[in-house]
Amino acid sequence: MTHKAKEWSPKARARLAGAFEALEGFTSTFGQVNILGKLLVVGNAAATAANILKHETLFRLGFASSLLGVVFHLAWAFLFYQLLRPVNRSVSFCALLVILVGCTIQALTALLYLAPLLVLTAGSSLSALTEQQLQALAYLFLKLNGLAMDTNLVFFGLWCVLTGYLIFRSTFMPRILGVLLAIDGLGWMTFMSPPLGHYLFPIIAVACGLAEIPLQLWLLIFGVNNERWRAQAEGIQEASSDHADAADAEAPKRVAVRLPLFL
Amino acid sequence: MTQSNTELSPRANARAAGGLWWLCILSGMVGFAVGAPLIVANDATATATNIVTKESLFRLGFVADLISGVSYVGVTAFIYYLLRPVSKSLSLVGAFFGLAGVAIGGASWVIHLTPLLLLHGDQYLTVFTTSQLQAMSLAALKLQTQAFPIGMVFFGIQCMSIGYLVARSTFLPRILGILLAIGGTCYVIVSLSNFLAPSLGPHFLPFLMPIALIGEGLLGGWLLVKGVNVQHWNEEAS
Repeated sequence: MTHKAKEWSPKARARLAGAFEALEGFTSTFGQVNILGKLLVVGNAAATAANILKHETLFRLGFASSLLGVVFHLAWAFLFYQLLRPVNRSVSFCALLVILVGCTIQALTALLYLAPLLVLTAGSSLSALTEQQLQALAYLFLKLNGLAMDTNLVFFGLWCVLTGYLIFRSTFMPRILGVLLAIDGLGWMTFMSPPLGHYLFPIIAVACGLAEIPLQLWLLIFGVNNERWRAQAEGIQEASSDHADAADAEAPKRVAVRLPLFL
Repeated sequence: MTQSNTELSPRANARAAGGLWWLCILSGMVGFAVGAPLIVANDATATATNIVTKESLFRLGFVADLISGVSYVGVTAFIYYLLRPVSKSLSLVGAFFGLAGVAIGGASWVIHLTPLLLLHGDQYLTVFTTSQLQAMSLAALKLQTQAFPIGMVFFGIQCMSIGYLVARSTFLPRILGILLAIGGTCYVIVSLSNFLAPSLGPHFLPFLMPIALIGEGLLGGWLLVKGVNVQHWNEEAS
C-alpha cells in the first residue's frame, strides 16, 4: 500500500523528536541564557540599556532564537504525544495539553524579550518619562521575561513527570529513562515558587543533565523499537474494541515483553 | 488475547477528571480568598503595604491560582477522553477551548508576580518614586484580575460543549450535563457583561457564579464518587 509507506516509522519519529528537542534546547538556551546573559548587567539598568542599543542586532538575534525555540518545542511536543499515545491515550493527551500551555507561556517570553527594544527606541513618543525611567522599564521587562520562563518551567516539569510515567510503562523504551525524567520534572516544578526553584537550581541542573541528555541521546541513536511499539499500539486497539475495562474486569496479564531496567 | 493494561479504565479516567475538577475549584477558591483581601480598591499604597508585609500570603495566592490552572489542564484532557465516544469532534473542540482558557491564565500568572518585582526596593527602580511604583503594581494587579473573565469566555464555551455531550451520553446522568451547560452560559454572560457594561457586570456576578459552580461541582463530584457507567461507556465506545 502506497499511503502506508508514506507514514514515518516510530523509530524515525522518535529520532526526529530527539533532534527537535536538542534544537529547542540549543535555540532557547542561546537566546535566553547566552545572549541575554552577555547583555544584561545585573542590577544596572543603564548599562543593560546601553548594551542592548549598542548590540541591537545581537539582541534581536537572541529574540529570534528564543522564538524559534517555541517552534521546535511545539514540534517535539506533538511527536512525543504520537510516540507515547500507545502507552496510555488519556495521560499522553494530558501531557500534550500541559506542554502546549508551557509553549504559550514560552511564546509570551518572546514578547517580553522584545519589549525593552520598543521602550528604548521609542524616541520622543515616550518623552513623558525620563531616560533613566525608560531604562528601568526596559530592565523590568527583562526581569518579567525571566519570570515567565520560570512559570513555563512548572509546566515543563509536570510534562516531564507525566512523560516519565509513560516511558516507564512503555515496552519500547528503557524504564530508567522514565524514572530519571520524572525526578527531573519534580525538580523543575519547584519553580512554582521562583525563589525556591532558583535556590535548588544547582541540584535541578544535575537531575536535568542526568535525565534529559541520556533521553535525547537514546532517541537520536536508538529511537524506539518498532516491533514493540506496534505491539503496544495494537494492544491498545484491541483493549478498546474488546469492551474490556482493565481495572474493573480482572486485570489481564501483561503480554508484551518489557525491556530490562538498564537497557 | 493481547491487551494493554497500561491504559486507564473509563472509571479511572472519570475519577481523575472529577478529582482534578474539585482540586481546581478548591484551589481557585483558596487563591481568591487569600489574594482578594490584599487588594484595597483604588488605594495603591495600602495594597502595596499589604503585599510587602504579607508576601508569603501573596505568593500562596499565586501558587493556588497556578495549581488551579494546572489541574484544569488535567480536567480538560480526561474529560475529552471520557466524552470522545459521544462525539470525537465536539469533545476535541471543547478541549481546545479549555486549552485556550488555561493559556490565557499563563499570561495572568506572569502579571500576578509583577508587583513583587516592583515593590522589592531594587536599586534600578529608584528612578521612580515610591508612589509611582505602587501605582504600577496596582495597575498590574488590575490587569491580572481582567485576565480571569477573558479566560472565562473560553471555559464557558467548553462547559457548554461538555454539558451537551454529557446530556447526549448514555453513561452519565442527563441532568448533570444540562446544569453544566447552563453554568457555562452563565460564565459567558458574566464575562461579556463585565467588559461591555462594567457598571452592570459586578451585579450579575453574585447570582450567576454560584449557578456555574453548581454545574461544575456536581459533575466533578459525580465523576469522582460514581465515575461512569462502564458498560454503557464501552457500548458507546465500540
